[in-house]
Amino acid sequence: MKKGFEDMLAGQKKMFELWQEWTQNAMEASPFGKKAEPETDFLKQWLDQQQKLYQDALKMGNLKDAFDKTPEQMTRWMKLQNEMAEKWMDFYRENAGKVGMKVPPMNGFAKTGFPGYDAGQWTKMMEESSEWIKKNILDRLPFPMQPHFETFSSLYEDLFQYWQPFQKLIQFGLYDPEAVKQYLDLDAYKEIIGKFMGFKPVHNYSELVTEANEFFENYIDLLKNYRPNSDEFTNRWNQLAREWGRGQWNPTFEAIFEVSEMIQKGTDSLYMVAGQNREVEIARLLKDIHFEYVAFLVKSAELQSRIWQAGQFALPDTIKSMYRDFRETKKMPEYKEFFGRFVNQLEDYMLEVLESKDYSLLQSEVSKLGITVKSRLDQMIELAFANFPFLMKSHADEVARENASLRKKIRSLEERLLNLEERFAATPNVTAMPSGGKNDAQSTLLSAIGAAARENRDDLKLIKGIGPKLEEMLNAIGIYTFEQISHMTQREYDLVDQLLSAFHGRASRDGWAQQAAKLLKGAKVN
Amino acid sequence: MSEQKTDHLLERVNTAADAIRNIAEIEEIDIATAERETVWQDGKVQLYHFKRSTPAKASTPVLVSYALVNRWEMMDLQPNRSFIRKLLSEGIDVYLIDWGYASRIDRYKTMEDYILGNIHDCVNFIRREHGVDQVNLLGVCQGGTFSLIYAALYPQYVKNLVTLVTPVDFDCEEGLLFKWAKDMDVDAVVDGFGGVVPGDFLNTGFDLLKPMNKTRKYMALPETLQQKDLLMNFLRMEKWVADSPDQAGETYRQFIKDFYQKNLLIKGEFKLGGRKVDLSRIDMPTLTIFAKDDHIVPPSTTKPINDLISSKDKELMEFPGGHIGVFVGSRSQKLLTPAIAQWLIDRD
Repeated sequence: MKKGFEDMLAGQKKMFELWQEWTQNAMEASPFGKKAEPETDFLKQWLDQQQKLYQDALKMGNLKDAFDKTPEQMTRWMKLQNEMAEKWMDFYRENAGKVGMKVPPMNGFAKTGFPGYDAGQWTKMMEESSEWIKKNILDRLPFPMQPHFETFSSLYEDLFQYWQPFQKLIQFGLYDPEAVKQYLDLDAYKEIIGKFMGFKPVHNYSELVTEANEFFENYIDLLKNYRPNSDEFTNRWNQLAREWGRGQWNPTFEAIFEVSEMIQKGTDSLYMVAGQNREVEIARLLKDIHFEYVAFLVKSAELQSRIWQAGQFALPDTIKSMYRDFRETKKMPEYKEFFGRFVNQLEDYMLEVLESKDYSLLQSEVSKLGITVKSRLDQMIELAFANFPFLMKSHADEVARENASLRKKIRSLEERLLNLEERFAATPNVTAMPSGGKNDAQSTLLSAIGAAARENRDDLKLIKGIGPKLEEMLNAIGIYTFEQISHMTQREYDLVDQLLSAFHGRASRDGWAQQAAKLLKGAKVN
Repeated sequence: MSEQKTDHLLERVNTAADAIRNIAEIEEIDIATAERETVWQDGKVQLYHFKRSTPAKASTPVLVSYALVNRWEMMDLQPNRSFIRKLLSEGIDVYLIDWGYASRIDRYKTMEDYILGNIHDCVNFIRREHGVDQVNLLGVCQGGTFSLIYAALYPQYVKNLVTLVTPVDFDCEEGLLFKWAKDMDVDAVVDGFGGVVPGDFLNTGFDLLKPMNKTRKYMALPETLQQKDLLMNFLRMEKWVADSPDQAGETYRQFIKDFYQKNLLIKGEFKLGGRKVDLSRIDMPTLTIFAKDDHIVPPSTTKPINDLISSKDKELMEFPGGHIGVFVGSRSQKLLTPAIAQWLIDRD
């Protein structure tokens, strides 16, 4: 125990240091920092006094002894603690709040006062603190992980309730059947195992199935006998609106009346209650859902019972193995160790089941049934609202299908385009051009004006006299950039003419090189 | 009060100060912070190019193809546990395909769209951008299977192929996933979910592979809370695990049926876009990495790759750890990633 209290004091000291640091931070950041200054001394005194107490207490062996030997002093000290804690907390909260700092969890602390050696107070204080930690972890966790964490926390605490009797079993062995009955509440244990596996435990399946049967039968009856009178509904609404309108309590009522008439006209179909004229189809669908839902319940029950059967020995076996250890070491394990060992044991037994073929088939069936029920409910909703001007899931699917086929078409077009481009690039001589001399002309041209890569191409159409067709042809003989064209002289113009005879004389006539040089400048400026 | 109960309480007292400080001081749970630029985009799919401060040691860039079933951010979880940063610092130019989040509009998106469309487009983009004929392809898990298929169909564009924890032989008795997938009525699942399989559904399955993993993780929290960096690491992992994209139904259906159930790829019977995928057409240098303790993709599903390809330069590399450790473990940072980079530089 001595070690325990030392640890506790060390932990407590750390906590005070943290609070002090935060208070100082808050004060520094606060525009009222100066005013708050004397309070630091106050806090410092408080910390000093505590430090002294710890030291004195540790001299006496442990805190409990210290408290026992000098009760009066302790009472006075405790009172001081309460006053200081409350004052400090108010001060801290005020300052931290002003500068938007996070306020740590000390409401309970200030309310209950400084927790002395009284275990009840300590427990309360620590419960609050760990609640805060738990809540903050939860807040930091992404949404889908939060239920897992909550389940874990509750399991850890749930089992802890049994820790005292479990220790007795670890000490004396789990041989007495009465002890087992007494300490292991089977229902609670079933629930624990189910929670570990992420199941929502259901205890009475036959009751559930009966409820489901009733629900579906009533629903189907209702549909069969349902004949809504939409005229009556509309008339009543109109009457009410007119009464309000005639009242003339306020000029806006007239406007409301007009708007409501407009809405009525536009939404006449909405008065047709969902599903009207489709009762038979919906009822048929409901029968399917009914069947599948009950099958789902039954199969889930089977799945859960397998998990339970596999897991039921994990706890007694953990206790047995700890009993064996205890006999050797005579040391009672900590709760955490017990919990960890139980979890590992449970996983071993679970995996035996999860790996079996039976389980795999059952799992497949359960998920299939569950998903089918869900999808039929979707169908039912679509049926019920089929007359409404909504875009349904099935419409979205049509869009997706269309989208997919377009994607495929685009891919094949892209591929064909690429092939064409490659072929085109390979044979730049698209205009009638006597063979021989063409390659020479092209290489002379490119060596004069420089080569360029396709990905660096400029929009040559910006040059007056070059249209899309000519640009393509220029690209095909390796001319892509303004830079290249800007280097052209009459000699290169002639070479271009020679290569692309269809546009004879155009390059020199339109002064491509000058234009390109200008564009190049502009491009650089931009 | 019993002594044990006091201990239980003390444990919390002692750790409260550090825990409160660490929790209160968290500002943002940031993952995947390596600087990058989107250089190409097609709908939801983006190609990232990671920024380098020094010139690359290898002239051929690497294209990373990650799995569809979770998010690529795992490869850059945090600065000191980042597969991508390590590759960059070892001198590799890195591109990565972000598949985006599939939704209803993608229910008919097929493997053909992913591989012959997206991967092919990205490869072509990089080839043009760098003026190279071939790129290095690095596939992760399911993305590795995609890379193998691509490399078999377009060997002329792949200079070197690296696959990490990639399943290829689905006739595996070891992994629970492989057992369950065989019994799964995938038509009922895909159609029932309206063509988009929820990420949560997949996650439930992954969780069951080691049913108590979550419990163990949370049990370690009191210690985790004591150290800011451990806590941040834990929260980043949680963020990543929870971020599980929904799956395009047709791709999922085909992946389960053709691979998990019929094992077509290894038999040479798998067809994509009307073309038969023959793994023996993979003839470029190939590095196959598997994790010894992988319970998601057991080594036995990965290793056969080496016998199917016709590459003369091929290597099997064992990583001592699990599926995720390959990317975030300290051994990955110290040994594996530098080894991959060196392997690529040697074959540049």
